[in-house]
Amino acid sequence: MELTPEHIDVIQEMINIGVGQAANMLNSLSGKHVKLSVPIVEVIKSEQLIDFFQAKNVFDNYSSVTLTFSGSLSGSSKLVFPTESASKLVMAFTDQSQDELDFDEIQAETLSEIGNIVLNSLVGSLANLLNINLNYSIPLYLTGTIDQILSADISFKDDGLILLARTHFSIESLEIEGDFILFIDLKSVSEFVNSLDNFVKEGGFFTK
Amino acid sequence: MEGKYPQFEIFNSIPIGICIINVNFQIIFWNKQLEIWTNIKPQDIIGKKLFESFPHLNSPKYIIPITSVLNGGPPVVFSTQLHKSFFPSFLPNMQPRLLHTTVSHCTCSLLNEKFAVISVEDYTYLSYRIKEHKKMRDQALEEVERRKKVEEELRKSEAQLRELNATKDKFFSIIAHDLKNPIGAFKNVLELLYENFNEFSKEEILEFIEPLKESSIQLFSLLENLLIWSRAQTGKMQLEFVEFNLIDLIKNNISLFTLQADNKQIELLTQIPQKLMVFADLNSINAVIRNLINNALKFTFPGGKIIVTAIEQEDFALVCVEDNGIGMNDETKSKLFRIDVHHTSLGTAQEKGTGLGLIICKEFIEANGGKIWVESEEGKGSKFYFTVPLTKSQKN
Repeated sequence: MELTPEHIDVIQEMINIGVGQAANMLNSLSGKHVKLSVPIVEVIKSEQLIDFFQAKNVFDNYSSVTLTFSGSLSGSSKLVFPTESASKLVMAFTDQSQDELDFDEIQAETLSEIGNIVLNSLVGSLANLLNINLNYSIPLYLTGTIDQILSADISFKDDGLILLARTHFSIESLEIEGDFILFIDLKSVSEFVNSLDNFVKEGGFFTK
Repeated sequence: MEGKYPQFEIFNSIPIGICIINVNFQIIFWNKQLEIWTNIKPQDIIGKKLFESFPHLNSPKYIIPITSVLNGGPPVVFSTQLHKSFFPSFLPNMQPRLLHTTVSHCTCSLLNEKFAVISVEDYTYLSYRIKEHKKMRDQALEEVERRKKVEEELRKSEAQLRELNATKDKFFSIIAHDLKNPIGAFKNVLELLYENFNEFSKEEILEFIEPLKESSIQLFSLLENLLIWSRAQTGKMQLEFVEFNLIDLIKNNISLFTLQADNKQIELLTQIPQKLMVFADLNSINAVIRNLINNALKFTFPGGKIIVTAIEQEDFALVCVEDNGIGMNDETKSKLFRIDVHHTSLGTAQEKGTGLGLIICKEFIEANGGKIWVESEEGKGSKFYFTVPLTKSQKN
């Protein structure tokens, strides 16, 4: 069962709604003007996902926050940053000097909070609009090479559906790029597609 | 309400703080670990609303996400850096404890109730350990820096030692060649005259002593340079910085060399302004001008021309002594100002040099805050340039 361009448009719109919520939450958390955008969502295969990160080939280490969910749909959502960008993002929120680009456990814990806000808004937006009940695990912070990060995710190996979206953070003069990945486990793909179809049948965004 | 939820008692035996609230934000469970960290006993807090006990949590940044969790939304994280005290807690030394807080949803199907479980982890010691490691890392980096500096100093002092050694070698080579040969000639001629004085006519004696006179002038000049140079080497040379007109100094030297230039049929010209006030040590700059004009005369053929020019260039006076003499190839040029390479050439009239003159010039000009360099082409002539700092009034 595959996603049609119309499905992807719906997902894109749902994510945009989540992005707005996440930006509001981050604004009130930091007291700074945070702009968040997720311009394009695409469906890719697991090999393409690895190629996508390896093609960047600039950063050896990535930091990630993962929110796993189960229930009507099972899968996981992930926000991945090159570690240096993750450190810059945390420093922008905590008003630390940007000279020191160490990334330690305390900063990792802060990234977990920031990543959690973004993931909750994006996944929460999808679940609310599709009227799906999900059970969530505690957000998990992980650092390592992209292979290590992805292979630690059960949903990555599941051969289900993978959605990839670039996320762009603007915090004052700082611009940071990260990647949002949504894995829908194989057993939930048809349920996910049906939910999207139902959403469209019921009038889509006009009824919400 | 305490004891109403016995199923939560298990949370009293874990090293994590657990607080459970119901959909009305009422605290229904407060575990032992939180009691230890906050000094708040369960009986004093259970049944109260969260915001009653912790008024700082009564803010949208806490209410909105916690409400979402209570409604079955995803868990939320409150990190130590962004939320210093979700539940205020202090260490025995009164420093705040760094607590990482996660709020997650829990539905109890037996009770048909929804809860938010607030779990709290202590990151204080982790944070201390990180700080300690960073401190150790910084100390290690400082040590590396310090060692690099020591190595750099060692390299510098090694270079200085090499230069000192070269200076010593230079000194010995001058003593060995430039002093030994003329003094040896003196000795031989004087011995010959002493032993056979009565056998020579006055004319013959004059013939013997005439070259000795020339040689003694050369020797005197060499000794004078050696003296200046040794003073500079032993740090005894005292520079006295004063304001003076560099043009007067150039004119004086030109007039001193006019006779010598006439004798060799060399034209000695100047292209200089009336006044160029510099701030420098007069004696050393005088020695430089004297050495450069003397050199130019030495390496210019009869009929040749020497021009001394002086101009202002930014904050310096720029002097050039130009000749159309024999000039130099690149190899000779590279040896000129170096103490570690022995170099001396005979003049166009077989004048001998000491190989010290230009080295002294370089030391003097640099001690005065200027620079010295040469442009030359074999067979066409040379241009020796040097700079001297202008006085403030001249700069203005």
